Amino acid sequence: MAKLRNHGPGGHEKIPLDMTPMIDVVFQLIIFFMLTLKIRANEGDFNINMPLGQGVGQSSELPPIKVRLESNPDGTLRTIAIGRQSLGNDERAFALLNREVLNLVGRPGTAFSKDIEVEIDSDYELHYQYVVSAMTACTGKLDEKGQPMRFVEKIKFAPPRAKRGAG
Amino acid sequence: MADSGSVDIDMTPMIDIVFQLITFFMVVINFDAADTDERVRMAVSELARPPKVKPAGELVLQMGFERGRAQGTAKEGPFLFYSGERIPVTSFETVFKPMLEREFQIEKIKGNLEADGKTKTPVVIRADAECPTGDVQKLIQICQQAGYEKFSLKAMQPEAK
Repeated sequence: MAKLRNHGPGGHEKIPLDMTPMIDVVFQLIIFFMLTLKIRANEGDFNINMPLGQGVGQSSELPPIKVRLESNPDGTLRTIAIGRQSLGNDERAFALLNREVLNLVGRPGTAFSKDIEVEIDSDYELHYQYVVSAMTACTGKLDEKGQPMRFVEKIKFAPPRAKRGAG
Repeated sequence: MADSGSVDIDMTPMIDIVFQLITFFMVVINFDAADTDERVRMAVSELARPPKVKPAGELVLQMGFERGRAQGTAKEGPFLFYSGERIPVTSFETVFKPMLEREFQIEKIKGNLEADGKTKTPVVIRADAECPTGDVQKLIQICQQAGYEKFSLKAMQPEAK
């Protein structure tokens, strides 16, 4: 058997450690973690409160701001409308929607703005991305520092519309 | 110190760095299968921020597409991916509703119900950006019928520029 301990002259002992297996394992670990690592964007959420059987306008005294999203048959956005006013269907329309809602809310952060509710009425086929964009435009915006500022807390959905061609 | 021909290398700094690296990767890694589901490509919203307080319990529902292996190939769906099953929208009523009712019973047994018989547990909906909105609404309706009334619609932060 190999001599494991070298006794120095002054009783001082040194243990020669074989580092190789540890370093092997440690490198394996590093490689494993590097390969499984996935940098992902953060997720956030929009909270909505929708009890069953709640009709339009029952949850608060104020009538909700109605946002209508119309879709093309392929699920892309045809127009956004707030009330009866049509806003178009591009990026600018969402910016306009944001401004319109802010106009209606008045000053964000007041007690009044806490009660305001936005009702989203979307066609069946519309891609969910547009609904999320509309919810974003209706609920808040980024301030100068890039921090989100919310001016509407309550969102709800209008009863779902029938699928196109389903009668 | 060294024997003839062998050189003593001081391993300490290297091991320090290597352990730092391991610790970094361990902390950053995301093992949560729900968060890394490739079938759900979520909608992007600049207001999306992770919730400050995580609720004690939540019911996560994933809705997405089964896409071909190569990008751009035909996709099937949308499906609800729930407890290892792939449920098409047409069988929400028949397949998913009983599952959800069972889930609600478990809530009841656990004592998570309010006085009015409703649960506080939020339903987290992670839906693909291309899902038809009507299907998402249908999902919400089924959950409402089962007794859930708090919903959290998930969106992703845009990639940092």
